[in-house]
Amino acid sequence: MSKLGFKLTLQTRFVIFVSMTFILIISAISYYYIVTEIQHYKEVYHDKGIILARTLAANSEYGVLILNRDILLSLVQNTIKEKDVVYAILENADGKVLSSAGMSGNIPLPASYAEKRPISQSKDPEPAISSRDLGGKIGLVYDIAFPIITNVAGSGIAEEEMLGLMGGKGTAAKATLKTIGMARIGISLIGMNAAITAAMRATLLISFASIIVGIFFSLLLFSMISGPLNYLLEGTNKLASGDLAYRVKYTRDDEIGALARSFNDMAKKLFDARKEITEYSTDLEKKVEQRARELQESETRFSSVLDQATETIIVHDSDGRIIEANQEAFRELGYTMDELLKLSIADIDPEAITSGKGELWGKVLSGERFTFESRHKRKDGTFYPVEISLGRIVLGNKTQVIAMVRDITDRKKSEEETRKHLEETKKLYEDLKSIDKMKTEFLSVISHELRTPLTPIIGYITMFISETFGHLDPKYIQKAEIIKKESEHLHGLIESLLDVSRLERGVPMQPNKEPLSILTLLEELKEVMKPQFDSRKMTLEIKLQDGFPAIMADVNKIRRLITNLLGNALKYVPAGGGIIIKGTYDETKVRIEMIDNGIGIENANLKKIFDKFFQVDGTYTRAAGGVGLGLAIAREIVTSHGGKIWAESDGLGAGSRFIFTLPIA
Amino acid sequence: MAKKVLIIEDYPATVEMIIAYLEPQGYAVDFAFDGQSGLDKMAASKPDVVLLDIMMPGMSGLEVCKKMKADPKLAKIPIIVVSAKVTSDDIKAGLSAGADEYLVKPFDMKQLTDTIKKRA
Repeated sequence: MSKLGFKLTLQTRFVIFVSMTFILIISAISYYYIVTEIQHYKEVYHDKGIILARTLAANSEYGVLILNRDILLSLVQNTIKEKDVVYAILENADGKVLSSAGMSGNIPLPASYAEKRPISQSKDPEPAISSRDLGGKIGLVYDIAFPIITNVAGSGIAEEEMLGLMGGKGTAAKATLKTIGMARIGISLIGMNAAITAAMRATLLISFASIIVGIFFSLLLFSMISGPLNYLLEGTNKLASGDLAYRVKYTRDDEIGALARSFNDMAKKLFDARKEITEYSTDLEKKVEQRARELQESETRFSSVLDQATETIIVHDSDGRIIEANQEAFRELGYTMDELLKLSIADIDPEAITSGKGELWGKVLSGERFTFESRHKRKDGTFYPVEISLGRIVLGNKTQVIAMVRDITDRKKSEEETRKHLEETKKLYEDLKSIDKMKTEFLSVISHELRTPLTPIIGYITMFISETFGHLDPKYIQKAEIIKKESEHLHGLIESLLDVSRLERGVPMQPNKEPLSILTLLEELKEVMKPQFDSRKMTLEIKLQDGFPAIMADVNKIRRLITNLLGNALKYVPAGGGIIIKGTYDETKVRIEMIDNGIGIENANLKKIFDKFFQVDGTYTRAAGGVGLGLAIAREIVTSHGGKIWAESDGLGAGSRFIFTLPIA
Repeated sequence: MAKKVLIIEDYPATVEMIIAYLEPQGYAVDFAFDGQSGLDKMAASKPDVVLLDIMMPGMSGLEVCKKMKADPKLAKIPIIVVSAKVTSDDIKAGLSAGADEYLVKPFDMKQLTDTIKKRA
């Protein structure tokens, strides 16, 4: 509804309502007034007519009695001079007109009057009144007839008879009244009509003025209400058109003012609410947009990931039907996407159902994960081995199963090859082990077989030297000593072979521990080996920390250990060199360090030198001799005692340090 | 009276060498090349000490030890094992079979006479 339409309609209605109310009230008042006025005029005319008629009748008694026409004429002429009297007529008792003025003669008496012609002798007779329309300018006329009565005292028989008839028997009246004629006048109501018309005119005029005033006041009244309302209306329109910041500027402290304040409160609340909604909505829109973008990205990423995957990925619904698959799935299985999406798990993996793996399905749906091997069937009916991982995806109330399928044809082939290879390796290992065992046994046998002939050799040579068989030329004895020395060397090699044999068998050395004084042992060995040191012009120095403790150890093993280390040093330290043995200790162990100024050891070989048969240059060195077992055996001895052994060197030519520790207890 | 030494050894050169070594020192040395004949000889000659090899064809030295210990007439004869079987297991086996001493080949000649003197 437009602003204008609303306003006019309400205003028009208001004005019409007020005007109609005015018209109704004024019409009612006017009607009552006019009706009352008409009644009043009628009574006035009526009474006036009666008075005039009576006066005429009274005045004309004498004239009628004497029949003086002139008197009668002047009487009627005077009578019609009275306002509104249109005629005056004097009749005798027989109805004959004695005199008349104005209209006369042609006016018939009312029938009723003739019958009721008053004949009583009443001093105050009743007039006979009737009305008739004479038409023309005269219109409605009241016809009033009044009897002309005269007093007759005892006169005539006829008159007495008449009295007897009229007044009742036996009543003797002192005076006798006798109707001798009739005075008639006609009073026109035209004057009354004009007065009434004027009154009506005035009434209408007042009514009209009242209506004008009414409309004016109703408009004024309306504007008194609608003016302030317009403020509200404007506010409402502003509000409706979206201007929530608009406030009604009506501050008067009346009902409209209260309404305006309510309105402003409401507008403020609306404004705040709209602001909040707008902010929220903006925020929400941003979030929705962001979420939509993320979702899009996520979906793109998901499908990219699916398609980038080198594995076949298939998504099944809970009944096993295929609902999604990646490129690899089409490629592997040979189906198109449309074909694949019509298939179920049984179509591509018939064995999963028949082989009892079907039971897995329920477990997968309840959240377990499984990885197992199976065979997948291609579109062309061929099978290929696969490894399948099944996992569950829960989307709302839907449960789906995602299957990661790896083609393991190559792996199977490779596994088979590996298995064969492993078998071959095993066989080779067994062969090698048996060869190794043979070697160990061989070494053991060799050791035994070499000792046997060596026994008489050493025995005899010893006897030669001690001249058991008689005196020998010193030069023979000298050579015999060489034989003996070389035989002892051979003996040493045989001992080493035995150690090798034992090491090869992996039999742990079991030291027979007893209290041992390292110092005593070192000094004994120094004495024993003195010839060897002397022959090479080498020195051996022993420096043990004061209070060096006795340790629990196998005397023979430790002797071998030190002999080996010293023998090693003798081999690799040039003539004229020196060896220092330093001993330190703490609460739990002793530490022996053998320092030489020999050829040294390359860093790369520091550990390797403890390996069996290791020779620094990989070849048998005649000058150094030995078979490369000395340090391996030394390590074996130290570790069997629960100690450690290692070598240090600053490089070739820088000498070397062999260090071992042994627990005290 | 000279101490009687019985050598039971299948390697003749060793037997000969030991005889050559011991006889000049005044020992009466007899020998056998296998276990059974060794047992026979010791039953007959009642030696003061037996030098016994382990690795021999037929009856091994360990069996000889056991048989001697089982025979009351031989049980008290001291047994010195002289063997090329030199591992600790071998030595334990010999000693537990009844040997009194265990010398490994090649042995030190002085050690041999010391041991014989100690046991005979």
